[in-house]
Amino acid sequence: MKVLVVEDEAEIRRTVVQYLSGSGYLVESVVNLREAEDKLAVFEYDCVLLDLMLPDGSGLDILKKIKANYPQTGVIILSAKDSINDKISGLDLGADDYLPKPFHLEELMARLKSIIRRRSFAGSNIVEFKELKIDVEARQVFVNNVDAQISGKEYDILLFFVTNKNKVISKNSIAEHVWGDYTERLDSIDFLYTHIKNLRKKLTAMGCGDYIKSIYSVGYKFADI
Amino acid sequence: MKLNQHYIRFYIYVSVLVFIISLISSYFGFKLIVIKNIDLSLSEERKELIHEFRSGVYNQKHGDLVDLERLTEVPAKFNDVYKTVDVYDKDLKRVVKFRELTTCFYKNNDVYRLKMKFHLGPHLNNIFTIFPYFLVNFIFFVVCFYVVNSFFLKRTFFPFYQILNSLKVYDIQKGDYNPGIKTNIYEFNELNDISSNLTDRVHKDYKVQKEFIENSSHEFKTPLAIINNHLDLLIQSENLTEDEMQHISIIYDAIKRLNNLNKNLTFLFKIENQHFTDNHWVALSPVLERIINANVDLYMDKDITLSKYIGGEVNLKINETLLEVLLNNIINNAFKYGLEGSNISIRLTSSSLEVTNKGDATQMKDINMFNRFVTSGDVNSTGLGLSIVKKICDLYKLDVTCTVFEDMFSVFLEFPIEEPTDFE
Repeated sequence: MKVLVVEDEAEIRRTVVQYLSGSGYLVESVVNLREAEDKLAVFEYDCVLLDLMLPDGSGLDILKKIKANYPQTGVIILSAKDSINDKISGLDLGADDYLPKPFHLEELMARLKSIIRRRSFAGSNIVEFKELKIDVEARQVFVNNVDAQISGKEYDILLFFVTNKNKVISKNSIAEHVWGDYTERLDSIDFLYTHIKNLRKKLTAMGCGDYIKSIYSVGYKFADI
Repeated sequence: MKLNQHYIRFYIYVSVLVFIISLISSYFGFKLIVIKNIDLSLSEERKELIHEFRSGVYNQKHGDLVDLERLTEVPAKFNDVYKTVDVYDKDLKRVVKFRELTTCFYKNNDVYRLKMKFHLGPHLNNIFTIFPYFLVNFIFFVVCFYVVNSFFLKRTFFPFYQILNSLKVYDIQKGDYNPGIKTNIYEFNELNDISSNLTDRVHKDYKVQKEFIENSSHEFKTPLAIINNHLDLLIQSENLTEDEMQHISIIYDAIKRLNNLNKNLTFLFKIENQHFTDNHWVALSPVLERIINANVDLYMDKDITLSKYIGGEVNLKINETLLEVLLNNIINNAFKYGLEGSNISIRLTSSSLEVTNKGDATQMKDINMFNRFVTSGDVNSTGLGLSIVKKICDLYKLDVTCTVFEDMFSVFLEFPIEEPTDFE
């Protein structure tokens, strides 16, 4: 999987590249539109992560070119610009997703995987981890091929875990991923504990391994060991 | 009051005043003329009477109206005296006005005084017979003057109304002031130039401000994103101790607060500067239900019971984002400050929404809850929630009040009684 990061802010570029590379992606990064065009002309990418405010112009310009010349490439806009118009015009021009800054790297990973799933061919609707099988299309979870009856928020949490497997995920990023803007006004995200406890109980009851590990006060890790 | 109403009112007042003054002055004018005439004829008659008396042909045929008397002493003054006198008329049983001429003359060294009276009544009454004509003339004049004037007023003020209408429909986002007036009246041209300059400047300021808000918000977000992303990477490290993780957790929360503060302040600025303009008819109860469900989910471990009554459908012409923020801020506050295990009551009727929760009585103050940065003493609150609520309500002219009764805090939102004519 090849991903191109177009971002002029060095530190954001560096962290995104590091996180995605750590999950097995082949990541390249450029700092402006001109370099991005050069890269796109030579290589084929599964997804482009595109900042809108770049030193030599707006990311929306290159978005048009990507959609016209490389229709198989997915685009996620990463923008700090707080404007609904930008979001609308970005999505209208064919961007697959719009991720406002600041974002969590886990969230970026979830969006990226979702786009790659949508864009690739047959069988890609199934996400597997050991005895777990998640049908993304039908929003169903199977443990050893038996429906585990996990739905709603618990399903969202589990998919987020599996998408970011073997990584420590902060509680904030889980809450924001699943409850979105509603978490903005929360004082504490302790409620997450109840949901994760329920999810764990359901999975282990079906004979699934207990892969969700609590990492002190900061978050959780979904991993084999 | 409208300009032409104001004009008509003023015009009528002045006309009536002018009419009354001219009525009074012409009455006195006419009276003066009548008396002058009577005095003249009295004077003529006097000459005749004196002549008659001197020639000895005077007789008493003149009755009460003439009084001739021989004086024993010579009076100091001999000149004629004209005056108006009141005489009691026995037949009519009322006082009647007479004009009286008193004069003295000699006949064979004897002094005589002659008093002659003339009945004024019929002559004065004659004055009143001409007033109806006077009135008709006056009304005719007033109406003609009014018609001509209002026509003139309408024509003259046409450019003014064009400017007014243009300003009324002026859209600050488009900066589309152009009344297209053609007039050679200096003041209107000046008004148009000033309006044009002002609207131009307002539009430019609006654009600059909008850019500033977007940019400053952007400048905040980039460092926040960098901190966030580095923390996301940092927690992947295998060798962090529990203590270190706690520090990181606190940094995460602080970033979240900073981000919310930035978002909410930008949001307030945007509401104040009318960035949310696309209003549609939105049914309120589905949005409310969604928000209640989300909050029930988020505060699952608080054991809050919910008394929900949805007894009416409310449609508001509003920006959907603002409606969601408005309702969420109210509902979320109730859950956030509601005591553990207590009850929250949400009542929606066709005219109002009331949300009541039981809170910590020591931390509640009802005054100034809508002001910025007024918090209930809770460190995690940005203090902008209710002030955003107030701003949105002000924008849509919704009436919002919050009251504290013992340990019950309630927010009451009243909807305008206005039914949708079209659904978009």
